[in-house]
Amino acid sequence: MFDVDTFLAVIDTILITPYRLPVPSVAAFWIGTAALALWCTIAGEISMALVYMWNRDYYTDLNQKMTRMHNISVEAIRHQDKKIFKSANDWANEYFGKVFFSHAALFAVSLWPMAFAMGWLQERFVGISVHTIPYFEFGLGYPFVFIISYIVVRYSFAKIRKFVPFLKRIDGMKEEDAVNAGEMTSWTELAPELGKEFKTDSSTVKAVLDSKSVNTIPQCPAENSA
Amino acid sequence: MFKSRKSLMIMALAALTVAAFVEPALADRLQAAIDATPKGTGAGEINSELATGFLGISGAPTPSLIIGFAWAIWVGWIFSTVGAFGGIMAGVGHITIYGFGDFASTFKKTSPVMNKLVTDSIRVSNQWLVGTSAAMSSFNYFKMGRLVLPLGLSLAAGSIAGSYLVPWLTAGKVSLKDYIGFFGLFVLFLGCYLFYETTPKGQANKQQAKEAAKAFEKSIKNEKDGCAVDTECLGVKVVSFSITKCIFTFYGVEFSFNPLVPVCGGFVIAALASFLGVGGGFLLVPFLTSVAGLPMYLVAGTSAVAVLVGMTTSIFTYMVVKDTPVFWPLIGVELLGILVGSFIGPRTSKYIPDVWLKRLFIVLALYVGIRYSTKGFLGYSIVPPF
Repeated sequence: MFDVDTFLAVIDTILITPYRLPVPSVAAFWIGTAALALWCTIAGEISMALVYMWNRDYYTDLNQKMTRMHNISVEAIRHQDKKIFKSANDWANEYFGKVFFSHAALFAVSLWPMAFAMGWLQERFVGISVHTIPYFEFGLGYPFVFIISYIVVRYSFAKIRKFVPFLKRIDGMKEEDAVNAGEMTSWTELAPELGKEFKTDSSTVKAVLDSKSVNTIPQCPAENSA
Repeated sequence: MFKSRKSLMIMALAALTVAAFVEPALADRLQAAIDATPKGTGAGEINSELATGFLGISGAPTPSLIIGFAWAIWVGWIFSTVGAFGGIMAGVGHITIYGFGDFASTFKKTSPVMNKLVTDSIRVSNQWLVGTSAAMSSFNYFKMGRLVLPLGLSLAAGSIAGSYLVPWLTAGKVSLKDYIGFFGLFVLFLGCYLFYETTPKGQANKQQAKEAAKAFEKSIKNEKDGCAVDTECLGVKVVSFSITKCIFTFYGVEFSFNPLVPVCGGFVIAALASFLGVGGGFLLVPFLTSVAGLPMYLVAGTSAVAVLVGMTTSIFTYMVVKDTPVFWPLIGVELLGILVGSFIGPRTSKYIPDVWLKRLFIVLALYVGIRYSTKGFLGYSIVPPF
């Protein structure tokens, strides 16, 4: 029968092993925590990828609806039809709300191992200052080491994920879904001369989503509010 | 100072990292609250003989992982299908389902310090759970650069003020009773808003808007060249500007808004989000659309800055400035539940029409809202369980 205590003891042994490397204690702490952050990153990324695969039709459908309404709103402005602009924009925002929260749930999924890691670290290392800020005598404990390690590991992992077959496949799916969701018309396309540098073969979605090209967006309504 | 989005990102991450430095101080506030609580076996006392539970306090309830997990599936289901209401349900879980509310209320007379510490912990736990996810998600839009920086920064300025002031002014001062009362009022308000959307008038407006957009889309498909935009009226042209009214044309179409509104709006939304322990994204999006008249394309990035900055400030203030503890194992179980909820949510929601989903949440919002606001402000609930 499945014994929870034995299972937890095994996990604990696996996690604590890197902390016992025969190196100076602070270095061992960083190495052990970085290893823990790596476990968290891998488990989180895989969880997120599985949820994405499972629900990809749903996400694509939402994105399609959002893009369509947004594009209608841009056309409405092109035709100087304020009423249609507002209606389409309202719907685009309604769909955006759904996209926003479904993505928030996806991110939550990718973070679940982190909370358990913090709980385990708390159990093991609470009250221990790994570093002290000079002059302030402010102790930095396991949360400091873990969060820094997690950010660095997750960032580095993002750089190498294209070499991991499963994640590479997921990234391919995401690109494909982005194309299926349709091209989101940029406001710059309303202006022919700005549009030229922006347009539109079918590397399309990538171009639309590319920050550099979108950064050419001219002023828009509420910019004056600052 | 902020020349690139990367530097903003690094600032935000640095602030979050600092928020995590808190272990020694955190233990201090918790220890002080434990010390201030009478010891014994009676209600409102800490029995040191018992095993530790919530926040490592002896005799505190240890939330059932199974109940926590099941509830979080529900939260994840809402999160991935309906949206904003997931945050409310996460709050209901922390207050009622896991028993922290009852636990905190036992200290109402014997140890107000402990009562308020648990209340703060509930607030910051809500924010860790729903706020960080929303902030991380909005960060993606932020990276895309679909951002109106001046508006984003003015909202962010309001957000910093609201997210800092609320924890600073209220941490350690808000009793569970008051918190539950205000939480209930907010949920009631949300319920009324949802109700309006399902009334014949609300439905008709929405339907009309959709039909009009559809008809318009059809008509433009029939045009070959579309309509050229007069290059004279590209982007925004300010027609007139005063403290209370700005009139401008956007690609030749006239709009107006009150310039004070975004700053005050950012402040109020962030303060409310911080007080209740929610992300605030679901309030910002309609705000930016209806008040500032911003197109969806830019709402995404602009709300992202405000959510990201507001959340970081709020969690930082709760945890660093006010030393509020968080019960990590529960957050972990809840995130796992959200994982399962996110798996099944979209699969099941397609069988439920949107309007019935909304009605389900209206009933829930009315129930939770009435129960919490009467319990908070009157001291008893007028709906069962009493």
